[in-house]
Amino acid sequence: MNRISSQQRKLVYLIAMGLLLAPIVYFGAPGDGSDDSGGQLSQLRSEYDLGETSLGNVDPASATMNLVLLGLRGIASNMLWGQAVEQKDQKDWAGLRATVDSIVLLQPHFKQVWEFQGWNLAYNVSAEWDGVADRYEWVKEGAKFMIKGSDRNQKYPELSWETGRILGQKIGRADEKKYFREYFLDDPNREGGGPDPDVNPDGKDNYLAAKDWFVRANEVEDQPGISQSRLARVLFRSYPVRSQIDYADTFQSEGKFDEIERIREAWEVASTELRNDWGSERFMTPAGAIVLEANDEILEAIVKEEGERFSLAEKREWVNRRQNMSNYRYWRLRCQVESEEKTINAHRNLFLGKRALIDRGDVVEAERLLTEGMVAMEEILSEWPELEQEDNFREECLKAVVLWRGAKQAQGKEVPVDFPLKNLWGSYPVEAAEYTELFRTLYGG
Amino acid sequence: MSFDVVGFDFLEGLTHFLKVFGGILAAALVVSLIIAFLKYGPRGFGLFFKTIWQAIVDFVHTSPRRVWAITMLTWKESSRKKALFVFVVFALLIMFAGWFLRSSVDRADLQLKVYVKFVLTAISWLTLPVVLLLSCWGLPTDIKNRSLHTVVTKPTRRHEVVLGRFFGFSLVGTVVLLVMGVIGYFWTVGQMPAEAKSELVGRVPVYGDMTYSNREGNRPQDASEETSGVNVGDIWEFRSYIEGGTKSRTFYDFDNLDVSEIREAGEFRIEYNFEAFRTHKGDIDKRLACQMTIVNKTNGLRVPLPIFEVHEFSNRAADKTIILGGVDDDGNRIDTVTYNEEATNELKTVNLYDEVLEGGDITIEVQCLDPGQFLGMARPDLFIRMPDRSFASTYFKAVFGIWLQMVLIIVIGVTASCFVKGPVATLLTFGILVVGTGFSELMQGLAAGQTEGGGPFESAYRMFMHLNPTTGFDEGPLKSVITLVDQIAIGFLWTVQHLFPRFEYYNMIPFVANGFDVPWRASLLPSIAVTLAFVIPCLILGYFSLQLREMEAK
Repeated sequence: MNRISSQQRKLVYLIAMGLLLAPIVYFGAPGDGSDDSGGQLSQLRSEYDLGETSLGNVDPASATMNLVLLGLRGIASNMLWGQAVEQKDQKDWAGLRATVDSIVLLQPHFKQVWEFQGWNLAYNVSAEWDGVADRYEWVKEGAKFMIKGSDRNQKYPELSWETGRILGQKIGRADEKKYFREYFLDDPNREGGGPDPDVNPDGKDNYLAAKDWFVRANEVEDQPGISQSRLARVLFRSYPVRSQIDYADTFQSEGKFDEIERIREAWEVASTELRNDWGSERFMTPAGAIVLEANDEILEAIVKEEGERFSLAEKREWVNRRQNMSNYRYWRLRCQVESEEKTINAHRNLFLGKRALIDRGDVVEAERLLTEGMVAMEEILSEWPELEQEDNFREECLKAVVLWRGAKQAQGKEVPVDFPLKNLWGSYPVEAAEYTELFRTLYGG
Repeated sequence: MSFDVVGFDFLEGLTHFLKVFGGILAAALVVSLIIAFLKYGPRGFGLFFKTIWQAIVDFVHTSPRRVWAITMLTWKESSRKKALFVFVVFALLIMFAGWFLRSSVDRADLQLKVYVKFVLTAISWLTLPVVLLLSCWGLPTDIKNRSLHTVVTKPTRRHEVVLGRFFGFSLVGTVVLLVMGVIGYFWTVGQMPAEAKSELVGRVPVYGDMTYSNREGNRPQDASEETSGVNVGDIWEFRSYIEGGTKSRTFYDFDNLDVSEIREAGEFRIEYNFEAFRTHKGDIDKRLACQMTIVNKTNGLRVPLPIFEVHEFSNRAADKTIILGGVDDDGNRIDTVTYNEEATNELKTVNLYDEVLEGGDITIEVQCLDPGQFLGMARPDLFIRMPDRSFASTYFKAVFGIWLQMVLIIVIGVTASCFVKGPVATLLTFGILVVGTGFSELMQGLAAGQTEGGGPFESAYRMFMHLNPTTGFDEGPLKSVITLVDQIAIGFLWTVQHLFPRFEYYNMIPFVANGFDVPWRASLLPSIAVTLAFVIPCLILGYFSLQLREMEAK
């Protein structure tokens, strides 16, 4: 039946293989990294950013795993996810961490996996542990996980943003913030101490480290074709400067007034970045582009640039809306006020007055410092009356009055009819009563 | 991770086995006799007894030489089938496992779990499917190729063929397992970071009986009475909690401790693994404070131990071990314990072995000292740690567990292949493996009649009548009849569930992963017993299947 010999048949096979190889080489030849190198498929992959390398760092283990599993990685991920939930319920933390790592090996470019599990580790798992150092370890695990996610997925600004949030808000605002912030600079779980280079390679304050990640998130978001779905853009872009403000504010509220110059500098940087970076950035609105730090001159220039498609009045309206949305005017005022030396001194006097009264019971010194602080605050209020509307500022002033009255009463002195911040005290009787009651509950008297 | 360790009663198990085996054997004999009678008439009785007699003669005249010959044949066949290629897969896994595992956990003390679980799971998952396929396809291929004809026409008895197959496949599996086990051991030890090498041990725990007292300090008088602490709403109900700053205590009763062994070891170690639950923040930079008191049941001596902080979830044994005795800085033995007496606060010194542990019967009381906070514990969370065994011993016990499981699969696979073809035998064995691994609890529940809605007939009636499983069922003749019929069905189910081995016994990985010695009574003994319990019936079944099977039928 078959008239060709075995040798001839093999020859035919060889020729067929050679012929088939030609289109494979034409379509599938790998590129050298440049856009127009390699075969047709490689060029298309590069054009549409579909290649692993264009998404972020490639993990060889992940690529191997996905190849080995063929099309079953979805099922495998689901099973692993269920296992991770069970391990969390049964407090098998080592198992949970390993399972989570396996999930991301299978789904390295699935954003939600990174977001969910990073949060899970930093917030939920850390809360399960009793020791503060242990909790910090898991916050760090969550941050490291997010950092890994950001490296693997350089086109998702949300992952860098989440990393910044863990480093900034989780470490800086948790109940254990006093310890976490210390640990961020001097890790108790590290032999020899010092910052953990995986989360804090430069040994920075947590808010400044967070700021770097927010800046990186903004840089990613700046790239063409990339957008984020986390927050309104005007808010998303504010995070670097917000982190700088948190840094300055926390430094101040922790009472580190022996470094006044550093505090002032921190507020000044915040003020400059707020106006020059966030405030000068263009945001799209239904009335075209606007900037938050706007005046008529700037807006008119934009109107002209856009071919007068929108009126100046429309622009003003949308600037106002976006400023309200992002509380821009408040932050600008706050940065301006706080970077003044007299404000820093006022904060310092109120802080030291409180410590003198509460910690040392030195009522005379407390009265003196609190009086000086209250006088300075009154001056600041008269210069920037809109600060009265700001909750934190008002709270600090009213609490200072409560402490000052306490210091007076402890000395058997009458509270004078006229005193600094009297107008503010009289304008907010409910809050004043609330803080007075809180003082009595905490310290008696 | 924690696991409750319950001892296995061998005598009870043996009795149980004899009941089931005897019952099934008797039923099989009766059914065979009836079939013989129906098929051959009165002549069938003679044939039946002749076959039984022949079986007895065959088994008595078993030739080890012939069994060995079949064993070697099986080994050669398996080698030809490239079964040993499994080593290549294992080598690949071991080579690249570091990629997947190294960065999993930064804490060195948690890495033991990850490495041990990976190695032992990889070994099981690689060896078990290979032996399953080999054992299920061996005999059917022989029959198909007619190579079995040359064997059975020689003076080889059928059960020797079955036995030879058992041994042959077991030999292949043993070699594979041994090589993988040894490589896996050195790989695990090599991968462990230097600071965690001390975790590579096989701890030998002695568990006590656990009871709780309430916040007024009332403890049940009868030790058998079940008590529990407070449920704090944890999803995992493994641990119960006691309230801090109250008279609530947990009592761990230990009887017949081997004091001479403890004395010889030179130290008395109590290891605990408690969990903290806070109802308020409290002092956040301090862990919960606890205290243990050792009470000697023989002389009534109460020895409060120093207050300690709870290191929950730590895998470092040093974080959660209280050591009494030991040696001082100069290397001299310390045989005494100094403590403050509870009533007088007077400093007292007593001998550890002669007074504190006198008679070997003690109770350890645990209390949480922080008011408003809770301390969670379960029975396995506190134990007396006897002298450790080596990591190698516990690791290879776990490998032995995999080997026993493998032998069982071979036995079932070869037996199945004696009466059905390869694909069916594979499915059957795989099915038994799946049911025995994942559904044994469900089967037990069904067979014990504990499921809501009654047995099969009651359930059918309920479905037909649209009755909810929780709705009461009216008393009356109908209920009596249904209950009676259900009992017969459940009796049948009770027998059937025993055809599925409980593979859970073979899982010894958690012990090794958590740094424990694999216990003899709770794990090794039941595993050996289950494997042996299946070998004998399967051999008999395999023998008769081959004896009665028409070899010409492909």
